[in-house]
Amino acid sequence: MLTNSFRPWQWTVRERRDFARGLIFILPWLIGFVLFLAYPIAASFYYSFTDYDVLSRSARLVGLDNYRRLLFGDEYIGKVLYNTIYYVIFGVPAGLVTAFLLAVLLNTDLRMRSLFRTLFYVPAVVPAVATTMVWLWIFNVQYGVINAFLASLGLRAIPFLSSQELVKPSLILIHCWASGATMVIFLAALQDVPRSLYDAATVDGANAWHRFWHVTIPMCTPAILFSLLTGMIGAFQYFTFAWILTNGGPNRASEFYAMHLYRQAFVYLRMGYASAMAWALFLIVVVVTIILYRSSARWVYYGGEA
Amino acid sequence: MVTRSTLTRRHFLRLSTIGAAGAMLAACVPAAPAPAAPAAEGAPAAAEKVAIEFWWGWTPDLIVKAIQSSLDEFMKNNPTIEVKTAQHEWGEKLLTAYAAGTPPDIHEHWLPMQFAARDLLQPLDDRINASTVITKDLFPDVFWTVGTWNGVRYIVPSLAFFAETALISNPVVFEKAGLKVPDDIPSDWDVLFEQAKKHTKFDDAGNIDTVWMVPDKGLRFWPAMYGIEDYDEQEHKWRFDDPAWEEVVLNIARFYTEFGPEKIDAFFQAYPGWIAVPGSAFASDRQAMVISGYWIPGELDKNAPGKEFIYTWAPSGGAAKGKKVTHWGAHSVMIPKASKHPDQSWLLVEHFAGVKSAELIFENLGWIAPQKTFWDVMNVSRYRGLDFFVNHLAREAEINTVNSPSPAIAFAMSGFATDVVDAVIFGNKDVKTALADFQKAVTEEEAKFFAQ
Repeated sequence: MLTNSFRPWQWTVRERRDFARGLIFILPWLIGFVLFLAYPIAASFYYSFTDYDVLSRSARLVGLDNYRRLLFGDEYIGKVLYNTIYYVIFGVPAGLVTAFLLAVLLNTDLRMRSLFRTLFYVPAVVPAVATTMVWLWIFNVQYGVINAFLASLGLRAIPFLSSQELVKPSLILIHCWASGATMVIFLAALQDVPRSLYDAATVDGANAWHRFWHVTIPMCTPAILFSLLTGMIGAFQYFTFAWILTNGGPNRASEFYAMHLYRQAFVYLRMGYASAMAWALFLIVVVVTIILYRSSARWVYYGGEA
Repeated sequence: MVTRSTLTRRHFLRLSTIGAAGAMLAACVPAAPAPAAPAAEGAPAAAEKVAIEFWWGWTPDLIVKAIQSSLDEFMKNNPTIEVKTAQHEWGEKLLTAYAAGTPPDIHEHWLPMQFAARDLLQPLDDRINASTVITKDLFPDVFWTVGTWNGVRYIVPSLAFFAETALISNPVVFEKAGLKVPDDIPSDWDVLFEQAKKHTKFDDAGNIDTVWMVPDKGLRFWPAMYGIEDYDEQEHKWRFDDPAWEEVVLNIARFYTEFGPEKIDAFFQAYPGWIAVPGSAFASDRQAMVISGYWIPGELDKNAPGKEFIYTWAPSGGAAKGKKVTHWGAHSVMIPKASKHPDQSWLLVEHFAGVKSAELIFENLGWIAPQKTFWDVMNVSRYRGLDFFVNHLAREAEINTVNSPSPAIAFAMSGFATDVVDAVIFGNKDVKTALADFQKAVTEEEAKFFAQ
């Protein structure tokens, strides 16, 4: 049996044998981890200090040039960062609120509740590309469902994806529609709230809103924190919907950080610069995650705490 | 006396692990070749069938079937070669394959210089010089320049390469606007713009219902249409610092700013797709004019049968004002250095350079292959409008351009529309600044190939 401290030179023969056996059992995963995660991460870090165009065999070391370009030399970095932060600040909370409200609704005694739960979860399992093609036509300015309805009322069309002002809110709308997976997490959290708390609150004179605000939400804060963290991390890497629906347009109003990174790597063949962008994004996400996590001590309630 | 079993849990786990590891290793070892059947006395050994990978860019069914018809002919004449195909859409699939060291044996591309300049292709001079199919005069000399790097040829023009800058007009849309073809078809950009202002229609909801003409934001045709030398081959330098480009960009931009770039974007979202597909704005009688190439008569014949379109000279401006102009482009095939079967791939190259392959693709699609031997026998009346490309555009143009032989051409092609034209259309930059910034960026890219 291994001791708590990792000192292989102090192990007994049996402990070494046990460790070796354990390694053999996890070897397939370990190989995969090294080949498909650790090596690419290390390679990406190396390439961030090089001029590497993917097609050439060798990468030329350029020191901090890529990071300098990121900070001072990329005329579009400000815009893509703005778009991404916009999506994080507005899109993530919108998605969470939508998912939470849906979960609250589905946690009530509703007829055909199972059917509704399934329907609301379906967007989470439909491939993103298929979803995007559908939304392309829903939002279509001339023949889309929404604008056709507006036209029938004599109203002007809404240029969801062709307006610089509306393109990001439209993408956030799609994100809210696809919040089924988060809804399921919240549903589980809601069902874990002890009934006794609601009973006690009722006895104390709390109405529905009070029970929701002072019992339901606090008891769900761990799930909210988890969803907020994972949602924020995903939002910083937002790519698929925007790439297919708008390709960053109009006028880069929907060009997000991950798209700009992808373009640098595979359109402009600047893999070194793209790698630097990836590491910068990693640092941003780490910093925001730490801030969120530290703040959670103030607003997350873990049941069982004094 | 009762004896205990010697198979403990530990032993069982140990044996299972060894067994599983052994099974995995056995699965990884390649099967031993089956012993060859003894050959009959005097019979020659059967030739081994070789599979080669050929990739091209286009994905529409019509095009895939047309190229496949040529490949079927090749395989019929070369029964020991099997051609496996895939479409790379000139994008990440091909880049990833090269980066991984596993490119196809032979592939098509319209911007081959990016591969040639990076030493990724096999030089073909020796094969070309030894070939009895690809003779010196088979293609116009200028066709070779799109893939010649440091005096070495890395490509063979192939599949589709001809004059491609005609103004194509839809008579139905002209008639609805109260205009006549060909009398009212403009040959001047200012006249065209005035027509566009007058005849672009909007619906009650404020969307564009019929667009008159929207110039292409891409780089390709403009050097011909404005008589600009866009690339200095001697100095290896792009010339976006030529003031003539300002007129080009402002000309394109005015069409977008007049109607609103977002409205135009929304319109083409409602009518997506390539010009010659049935749902496109042009084939659906929602667009009056488009500037496009030799492939259109054949493709419209397949996709919009029975409809008539009119082909005339593209409007010209700047130094080319009043002149007849055309750009020629520009597909080639090339053999990567990492090709596993270069000899068999070369046979396919020679097949594409033959008349039969060209005829099959022409019959199925209407594309014009680059070999003169095909031009001599091509049935020009097969597709309505093809006559203009073959007997006028190709023969009478006073200004002819091809893709510049720059290693940074892919960068220039992809960046011009967004970094220059869009920047001006959306008011992000004035035209001088947009061009100056782009000149700096493309010069930086070009310099990478001459740095060492």
